[in-house]
Amino acid sequence: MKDNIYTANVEKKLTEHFAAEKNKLKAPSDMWSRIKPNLSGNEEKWYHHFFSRISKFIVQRRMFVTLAGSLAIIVVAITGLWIANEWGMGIPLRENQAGEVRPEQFATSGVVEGNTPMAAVKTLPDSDTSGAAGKLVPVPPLPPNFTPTPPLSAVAPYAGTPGIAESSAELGILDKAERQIISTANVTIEVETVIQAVEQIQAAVENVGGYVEEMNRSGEAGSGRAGITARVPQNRFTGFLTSMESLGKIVNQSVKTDDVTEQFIDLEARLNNLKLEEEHLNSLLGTTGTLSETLAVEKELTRVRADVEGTQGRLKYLNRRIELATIVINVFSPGD
Amino acid sequence: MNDSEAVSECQAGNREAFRHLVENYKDILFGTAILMTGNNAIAEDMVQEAFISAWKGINRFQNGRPVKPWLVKILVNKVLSNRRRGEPYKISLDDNIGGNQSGPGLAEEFEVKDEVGRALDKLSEEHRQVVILRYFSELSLEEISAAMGCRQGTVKSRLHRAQGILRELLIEGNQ
Repeated sequence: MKDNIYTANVEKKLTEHFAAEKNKLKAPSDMWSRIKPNLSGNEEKWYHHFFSRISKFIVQRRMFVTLAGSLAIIVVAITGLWIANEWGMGIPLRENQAGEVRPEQFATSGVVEGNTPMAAVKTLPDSDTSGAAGKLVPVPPLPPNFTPTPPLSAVAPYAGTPGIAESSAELGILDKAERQIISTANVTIEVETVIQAVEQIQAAVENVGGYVEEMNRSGEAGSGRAGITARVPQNRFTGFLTSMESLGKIVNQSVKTDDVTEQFIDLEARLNNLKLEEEHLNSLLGTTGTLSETLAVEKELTRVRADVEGTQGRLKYLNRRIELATIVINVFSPGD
Repeated sequence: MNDSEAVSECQAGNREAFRHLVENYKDILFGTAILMTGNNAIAEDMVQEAFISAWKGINRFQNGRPVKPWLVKILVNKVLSNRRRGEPYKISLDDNIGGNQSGPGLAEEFEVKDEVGRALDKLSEEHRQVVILRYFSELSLEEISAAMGCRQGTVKSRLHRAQGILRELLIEGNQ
């Protein structure tokens, strides 16, 4: 109550004070004559109004922080997109065993997935002697009995594995048994007699159906040290390693596995497509008319065959590595 | 001619119609300017600039709305911009409050300055501006908030705080 009275008194005093000020504070009487010469045309550009409204809105709403934050987000987003683009994250790429990077969607040398026939033109290699090197030459259409390249999901899997996933994403859900694994191990064993241990290891390798790939020994018989590189079937790998414990004291042991499923699928699919292309080129050989066309097809056939052989070789090597695990066993006698 | 008719004429490009607005509001603008700046010459400049800006922007003015708050808002913007540029506006003993009017000089004015004037001098700049716009320019809280570019709640709290300080200085201090 007392506060209200005081406030009312203050307001009254202020009102009286400023009423008196109003009587004293008078603008110069020639104000209009000063202003008039400065009154030019009052037409303003539309953008004056537009920017004025925006700036006032920002100032009134104290939106500096929001504005700065928004700008920061935009800068970060643009930078992120740029980085993603620079790193090729926009298009999923796969790298096969040969180190070639190519798009996920598999297509090679004019043969594409689905029912699309071979491309109607083909670039001749530079070594072409017909003088048409580097030029596009017409290629006859596919024969009626041509079978298009099957999709990756339909490519015959290795070792009777039912169904191979088409993409890397699907590879992630493959059963452990369906995966192609290369296993390697390194074991160092302290034994009483080196020569005896080596004999036992050789016998154990033969027992599991493997073979000794490499062996070396140094020092006197019964002492010294020896190194054995053994290849044992993948399914006996763990059992064989366990059996090594009976030879002596395991000083060091390391096991490594490499999942090569994706490389394997890539190579198989590539091989299938190359074979189809080879068949098609073979069929073209009998139908080509001119010499230059025949030469072009033969050169392409040579290249495809070389690719087929190379891919088969890589697949064979990969198969061996998968089927037979590699175990390097080092034995030594403490008396050495 | 009333304000609305004058604004319509101005919007049509009639400069003479603008004289009506200048004559009607020059005193309230000048008083507000001199109370805010404390400098006669600067206050005159501010008022002139405010009227010229008003003329330039009169096409944007929504006719029918009160003219005084609009003009005071332009003036306050001019004064605050002038301050941000760091130009001097503090009161000087050599200045002559009241301009060309016949009346007491500044020294004499200070002698007769009542306790309210002295109390107002002790307020902070923000509080004093709100009090001037409320009690001298007779703007509403909403109009003050638009003129000063701050929220209405801020104006309300500043006014309340200023009143509290003045109460202490004017009433409770005398007891």
